[in-house]
Amino acid sequence: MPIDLHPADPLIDALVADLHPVQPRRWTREVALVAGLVFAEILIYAALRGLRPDMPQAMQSPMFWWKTLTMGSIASLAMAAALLSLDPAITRAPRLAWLWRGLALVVPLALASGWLIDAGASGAAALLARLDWRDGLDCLANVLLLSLAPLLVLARFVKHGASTRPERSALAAGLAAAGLGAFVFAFHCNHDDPLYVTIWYGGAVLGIAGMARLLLPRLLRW
Amino acid sequence: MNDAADLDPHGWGRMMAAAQAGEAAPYRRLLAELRPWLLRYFRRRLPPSSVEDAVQDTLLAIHAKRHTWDPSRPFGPWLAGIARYKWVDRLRAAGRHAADELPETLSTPDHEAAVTSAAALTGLLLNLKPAQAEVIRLVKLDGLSIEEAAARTGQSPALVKVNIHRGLGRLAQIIESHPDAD
Repeated sequence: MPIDLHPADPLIDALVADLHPVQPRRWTREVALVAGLVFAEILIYAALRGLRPDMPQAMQSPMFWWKTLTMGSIASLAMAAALLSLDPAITRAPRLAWLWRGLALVVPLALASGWLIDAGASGAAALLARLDWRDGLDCLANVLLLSLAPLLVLARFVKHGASTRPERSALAAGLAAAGLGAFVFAFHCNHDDPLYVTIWYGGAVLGIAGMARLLLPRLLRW
Repeated sequence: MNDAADLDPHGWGRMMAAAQAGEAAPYRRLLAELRPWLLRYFRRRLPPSSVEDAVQDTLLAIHAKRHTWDPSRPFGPWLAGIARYKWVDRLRAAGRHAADELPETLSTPDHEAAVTSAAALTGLLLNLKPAQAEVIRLVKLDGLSIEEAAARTGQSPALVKVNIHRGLGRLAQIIESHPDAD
């Protein structure tokens, strides 16, 4: 004998009427999608502008690996933080707090490490020459361009998720997208000078992350 | 699955999993059981005039974000995360409407509510400047008008509004940046 325990509530009625099956969100699927996108970008960019001409030698050079790994780790850490933060049960969990702290420590250190390696080694004129601003601006523009697709995809994921710290999720998504853009560009760019990488790659990454932090949160309210 | 009942004492996880699959009956039951839980949650944490809005907001959020609950994980922390987010949201909103006074009908609905009313919020007021905490208590919890609170405290009515606004904004900030201080 069914007994109606719950008096009618118009809001609950409306929500039940609106119920349709949903697919629980899976971060593994999201990571796979972004990885596929980055792989496609590498291929497309290599087809359009080519890999760096000295690729075989570059692969022997520690600086090339330092550059790609730095950008790759910033991207991976930031993406992990962004995607994990989309579950309200995890957003505030202590282990995620450690990831935020790790990110706050690793990003500036990784970016500054180029400077720390040897910026002091040469005079001002040589420094300017090393910064090669024409290539540098090209680098900025390209990293920005290559970050756009990952940023769109990540912003969609963040919007679809339920971050209870929207500003942080936005910043992490921006950082991840920028790191991915820089990672892709690193296969084309033939500058391995750590100072150059710190200034131009670092500038691009921080700029894009900052923009995401400013622009995304208003789209993420829920 | 011996410990299934421990992890999901109300069966809410089971009901939500069914709701994700589109089953209306368990979903209705879940929402009907969440409503009083949320009422209790927000009564302890919000001025009485904000409680009903917070409950409805949270039910809407649970509905809109139901795909973000991972059925392999416990339901409680997910629910608590959303409720807390809406709590912060509501405190900010209450600050924006600093001058709204308590509607007659909402002041002290019953004895139990009156005793536990905003107990957690009252405790949190200790983190604010005394001038802010006092006017929030007078206007938002005791139901005085802005003018009455101004007369009682010696602050000008404009300052009372500013202090309510800033104080509630500051509280929202404190709660948001504290890792799980309820």
